[in-house]
Amino acid sequence: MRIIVDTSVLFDRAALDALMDDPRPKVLPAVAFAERARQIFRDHGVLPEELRSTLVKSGWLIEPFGPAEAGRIAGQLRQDRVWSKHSRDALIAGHVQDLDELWTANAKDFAAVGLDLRHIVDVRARKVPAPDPR
Amino acid sequence: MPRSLATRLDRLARKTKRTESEVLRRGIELLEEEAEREAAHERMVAWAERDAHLKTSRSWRLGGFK
Repeated sequence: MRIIVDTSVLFDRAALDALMDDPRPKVLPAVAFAERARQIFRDHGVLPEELRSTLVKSGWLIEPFGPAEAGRIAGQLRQDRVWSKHSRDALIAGHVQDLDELWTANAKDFAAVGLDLRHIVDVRARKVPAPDPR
Repeated sequence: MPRSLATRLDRLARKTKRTESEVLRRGIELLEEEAEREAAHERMVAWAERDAHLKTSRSWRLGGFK
């Protein structure tokens, strides 16, 4: 079981601390990386390579977006209006596999793109599960 | 030293034929990796706190896309 991390989690200290303590693999989808890399360079001049290096040193995997991820979302999102509004959320949701959790501060956006609610962990609602002590 | 690291080193010493110096060297490597991981985490937390006001709005990330 992996934790897929939405961009919004990168702005939440409590969630980051919880992720640090959680032994499960942490995965940042390439689209989420692009969002954060663009913003942090735009606002603070932090180069994408510095962000990438920091994430890797923290033990996170930046996962490429490939055919498997694309296929997952193509089959669950039919409404054009939702697609035009939440396409990036959909691309991020494409990384979620059967046993994965998706941590986000924007839970309703991921519900809107058709991601099964059992995968969604709303860090804003503090529904962050405690790490398994084993 | 964190207990998990001590356990790993103990297992390494008991279940392999590593010499004491090899185990110590591995212990130092693991401590360095852990320190690097914690430093990276602190950097991510510092960035998060600086930009915390952006957490719940995706519109900024879209750069006016919406």
